[in-house]
Amino acid sequence: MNLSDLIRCPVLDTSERRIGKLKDLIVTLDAPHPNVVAVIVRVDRGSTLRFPWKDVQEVETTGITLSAIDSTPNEFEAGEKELLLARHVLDSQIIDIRGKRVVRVADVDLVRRSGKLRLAGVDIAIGTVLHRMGLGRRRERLPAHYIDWADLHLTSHRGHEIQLQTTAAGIHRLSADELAAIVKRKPRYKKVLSARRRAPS
Amino acid sequence: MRRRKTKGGARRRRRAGFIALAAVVGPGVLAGLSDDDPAGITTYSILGAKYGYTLLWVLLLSVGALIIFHELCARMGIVTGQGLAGLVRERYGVRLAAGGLFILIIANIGTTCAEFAGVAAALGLAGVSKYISVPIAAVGISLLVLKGSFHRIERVLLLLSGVFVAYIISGFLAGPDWAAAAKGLFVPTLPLTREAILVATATVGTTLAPWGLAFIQSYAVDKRLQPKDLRYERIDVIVGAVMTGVIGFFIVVACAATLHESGSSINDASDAAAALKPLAGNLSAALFGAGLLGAALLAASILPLSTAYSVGEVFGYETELDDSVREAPLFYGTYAAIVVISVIIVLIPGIPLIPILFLTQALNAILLLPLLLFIYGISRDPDIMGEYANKGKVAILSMIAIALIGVCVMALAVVSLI
Repeated sequence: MNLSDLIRCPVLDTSERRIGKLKDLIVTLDAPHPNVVAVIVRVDRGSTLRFPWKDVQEVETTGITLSAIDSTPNEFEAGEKELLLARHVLDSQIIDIRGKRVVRVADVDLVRRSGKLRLAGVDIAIGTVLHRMGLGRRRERLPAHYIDWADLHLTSHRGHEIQLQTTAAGIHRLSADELAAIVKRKPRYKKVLSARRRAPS
Repeated sequence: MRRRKTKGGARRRRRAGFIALAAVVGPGVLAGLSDDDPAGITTYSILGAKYGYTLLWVLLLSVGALIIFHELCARMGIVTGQGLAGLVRERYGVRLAAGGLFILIIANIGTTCAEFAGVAAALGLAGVSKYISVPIAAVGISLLVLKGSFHRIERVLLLLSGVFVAYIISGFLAGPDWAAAAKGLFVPTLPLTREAILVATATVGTTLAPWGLAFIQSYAVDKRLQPKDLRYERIDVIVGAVMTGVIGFFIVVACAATLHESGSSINDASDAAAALKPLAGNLSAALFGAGLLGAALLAASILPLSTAYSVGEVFGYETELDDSVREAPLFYGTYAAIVVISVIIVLIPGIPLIPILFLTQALNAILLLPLLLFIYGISRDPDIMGEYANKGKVAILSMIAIALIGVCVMALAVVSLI
């Protein structure tokens, strides 16, 4: 399942009444392939609400159904260690740890696993970018254009800070020399190198 | 003994400061100087010829806005290591980034046409046909970008921009009314006519050009500047913007002192240069022409570069000037396409270049608004900028600048539709 197909799809309650549109999905980086823990819905009246994953009954690209709605759902606020997939990952620049290059996320890959939605990886194909712009169909993805979540590092300020704190983060697998090669291209990421030197092995 | 040590220490620190500044200088100065391109020169000349010294305050405010937004863009480039178009995609998504890129490409092709038109006009003053001067200029600057290494390109472009001192000399030779100039600079007056508002809007659009914003950010990234260089980069930006303002000021003043006084009108930059001849002598006109040519070549090399950077960023292919053609086909392909399309348009027999020149500057001003809003939004985002996010006085000033430009564009829309 692709994140870009889910974002902005309608969110309904059990009586098929429209609540709003899906704005984002939240993950916390507690595993190499973390599960979605909450959904963010932009209500038609304008406010933004957060629903925990347990309230989600069904997820399809045609729409999302919520099984139970709290009479007072929480106004959305991002927790300190929370990553928003559309806001912080989609279209963000990342370091591809295996390919040792800096690329941009064209789409986020999610898989359904025992009633949960798991963050699998990202797609970096230029064809996907064109498809999202409305120019062309989605094509079959080549292996070279897929990066497993465990093999990437977010370069945005927030993404970098959050990911660095997880020992599961792929960036910790890079040797100092490999990191130095990336840092040469993007000297701004010297922070990553020095953090790597300080991080637990 | 202790006193001598302290003196030596202070001198060493000053020298280290200058060396650090010299290493960083480039993006701000280049972006600032390239604002005085043929479109800018024509716009400033019209400003001076039609309205004398009275609209100099528009130039002053535009330069103020230039400092604010060039600093923000350079800061974003240094902190994130990404170009403007890439950050727009990161923060606002693929669709908005694509829309912005499309309009940017159209405006950039238009302005590149104006640069080659400037080359044609400048060398036309010396009797060279545009069918010779324009292709040679296009090939020359393309080779410079394609074959030269980053440092060589930067050095040559900075050297080219030294020709701009010609405008300052030209301005003094014209013998202006300095008191009137000072008044025009600090006392805002604006006749509420369509023409005046159009000229004011075009002045904003040519000084605070969209491509300049994207360029300064990409160049800061390409130069691998880091947060520790921020202080020196700010100086570089201010110096570049002030140079734009000073050169623009002398163009306005020169035309105000000669063409406005004699009631002559100008239709393009070469008219301005030719018109200065009987009033201020052969030297003035020749210097003006030389400055025009230098400005045209400088901007003609930067514009396609800026566009190529932006295209690559939106599609996720970030490139650097040091990459070879084989490593970065999209980058060099975009560069070549912009140059070729612009040259073809300029060489169309009988094409009216003045409407292109002026229209693209007005389009620049209109395009500026969404772009400045993007810049404001991205620079304020702590998720992207961390501790370097735009806040406090600069944030307020940038909002005020956007509001003023919005008023300008709206006024233009209103008077155009009446």
